[in-house]
Amino acid sequence: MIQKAKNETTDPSEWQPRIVAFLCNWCSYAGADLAGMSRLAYPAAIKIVRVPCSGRVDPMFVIKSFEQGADLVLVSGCHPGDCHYTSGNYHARRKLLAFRELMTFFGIDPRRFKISWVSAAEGAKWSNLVKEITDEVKALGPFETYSEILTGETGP
Amino acid sequence: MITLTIDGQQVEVEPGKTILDAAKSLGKVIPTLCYHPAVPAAGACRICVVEVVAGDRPGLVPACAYPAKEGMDIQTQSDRVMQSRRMTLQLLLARSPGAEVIQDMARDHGITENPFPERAKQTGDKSEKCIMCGLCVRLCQQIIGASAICFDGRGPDRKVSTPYNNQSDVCLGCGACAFVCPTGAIDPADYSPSPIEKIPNEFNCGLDSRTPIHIPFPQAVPNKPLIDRDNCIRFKTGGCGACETICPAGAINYDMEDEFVEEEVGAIIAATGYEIMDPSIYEEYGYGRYPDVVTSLEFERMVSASGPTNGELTRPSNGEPPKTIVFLQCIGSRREVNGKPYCSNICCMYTAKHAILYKHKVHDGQAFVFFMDVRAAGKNYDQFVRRVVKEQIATYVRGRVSKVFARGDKLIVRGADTLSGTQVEIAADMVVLAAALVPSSGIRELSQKLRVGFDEHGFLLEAHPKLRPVDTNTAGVFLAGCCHSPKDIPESVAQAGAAASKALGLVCHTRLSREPTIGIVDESSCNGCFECEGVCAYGAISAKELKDKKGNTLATVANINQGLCQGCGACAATCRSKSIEVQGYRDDQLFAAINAINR
Repeated sequence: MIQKAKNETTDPSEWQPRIVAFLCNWCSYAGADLAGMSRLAYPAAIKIVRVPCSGRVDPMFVIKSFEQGADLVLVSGCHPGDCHYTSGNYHARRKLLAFRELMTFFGIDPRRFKISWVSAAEGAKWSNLVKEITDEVKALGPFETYSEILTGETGP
Repeated sequence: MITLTIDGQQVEVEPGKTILDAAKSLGKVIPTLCYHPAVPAAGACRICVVEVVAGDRPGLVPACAYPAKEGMDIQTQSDRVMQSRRMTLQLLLARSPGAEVIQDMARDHGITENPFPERAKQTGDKSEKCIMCGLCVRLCQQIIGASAICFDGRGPDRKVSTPYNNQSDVCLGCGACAFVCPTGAIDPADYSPSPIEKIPNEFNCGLDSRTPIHIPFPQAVPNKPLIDRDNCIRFKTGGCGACETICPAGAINYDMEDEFVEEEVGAIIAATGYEIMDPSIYEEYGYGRYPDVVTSLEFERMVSASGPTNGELTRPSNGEPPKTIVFLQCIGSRREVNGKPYCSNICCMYTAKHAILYKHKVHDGQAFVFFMDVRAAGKNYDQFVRRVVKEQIATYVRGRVSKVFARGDKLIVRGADTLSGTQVEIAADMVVLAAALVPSSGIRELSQKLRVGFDEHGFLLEAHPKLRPVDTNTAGVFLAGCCHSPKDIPESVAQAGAAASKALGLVCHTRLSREPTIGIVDESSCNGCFECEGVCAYGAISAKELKDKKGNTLATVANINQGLCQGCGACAATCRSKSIEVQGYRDDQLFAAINAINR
């Protein structure tokens, strides 16, 4: 496993994606913690922001992340029905799925926005999920629309 | 009260009581056959006759049916009584030679010869047991209310039967007639069209049966009987009620209903225990197919002195003691495919214990244990297993069993001995499966009610595997025992003690300290839309009126109850005017985190 992880990071010139993940404190963050405690390796491209609940995630956070250079944004919470706060993940699901429909309007490919449910016991699922989305975002390539606007390379 | 004298002793009884009741209160035994306390007496068998000497018309009367009267003087052992009783016994013996109760009574009364011709000479049936007392008929009509059986025929042909001697549709199959019959003459299967189903005794894994009124298990708290409504005749038909008649304390109440009890509590400890997984899914072990393949829990009941066989270990198939027994460990445990990947923790130790118990029961028996690893990590645990091995209480074979199959009346256990690298076959009388521990059924519903997470196997999740193994992520909910993971008794006791002290530590204070991550409303920008109120799962948000010094309402804004708010932040994400912030997770803090990541 160590050998394999080394191989993944041998080429420094290769473009590395940047993934911002908003994880709820009780399930997904604990799941990611468990993956670490279980010594499960997953790509380092993912950067985690801990929120109390997936229901705390304001769509503004997602847009802000893309504006700041994220190539993919993930929101992950407790499984539906198991929310620590009773119903926060239902609010998140409704709000963020509606938001995803509007992403094209913002000039972002909706495939760059992921929602998942990872429980505190699912360290292996978390590790696999990160591997999958890293592969997906690598296939999509870097998200450059916003940075091009900011640097003035192409005007609107 | 009525005062009467029995064998020279004075006794007081309530009006309406019989002479038999009065004698019972004195502790005197009057033999009875056709009498049952729950059934109205008929005085049919005449075995209970006593002599009235004075106080009423003198003569012999049946004690079970004759009411006690003021000033009566009764003799229960007089010559007249004994003569009559012997005569009655001789007549009964002639009629029902097969009834052991009558034979025993006759012997006790010194009857060696019978002047009466045996009825068997006419019928040729020496096994006749029925004494025609009619107790069963009275019971079925007056108590059960089914009237399924009655007297049929006349003279020598008289017998207890159903109409037209057919199996009766009205028979409930309750078996009460057989239960009260003094001579054991009744087989309810003769009357009932449906098979008489025994009620399996849940505590003994269904290895024996129980009555509808039962104490769920020894050491039950409270240790009192309960009525199983699904099987009780009273609840099925409205008849019977025998228990109410008999209970001297008047404790039977048929109108009691299950009720929901609501209590406000400060802490909850989940301790719902475990169940054994059903090993019949593994066809290779033959559980459910061969009666001699049992689970460890069934074996435990079999060797228990309070178990179905009173501690006598016998093969379920033929009742013989098992001379060779094979214990199979890790049935379903440590099995990635079609099983549970975890170790069930307790099987190594109880299998060693079972081997010792087996040797206690069958001294010349041979025990084998098939194991993967012996995991005896605990105080004195390894010494215990070592003792079983060293003293040759059981032969430990390291390997898995591939198949259990019947050959003759033996079970052939075929498995691998990985230490010698050979295949072994053992002809066993009994096979005991150490099946995996699983959480109690219904744990998912419980976990959703308590808002506690659970793992892929259904075990409840602790707040942190190393640092907070007793807490859960829901404040005030703690875990103890096998609802958390498979545990043995000392571990469960330790965790339960920890959970109890954690719970006490929570409720012993007059004030609660809590996480400061709660929502705060910016009252200057809140426009009172109350979108937040709709998403709050705790009802923590209410309206608050802002007033000037004169008391005029300036604005109505949201207000968060700090005691109720749990700090999830759903309101903050919903607020359109950005007037709610969760302390510790403010928008500016999260934006700062996002910026920092992407630098």
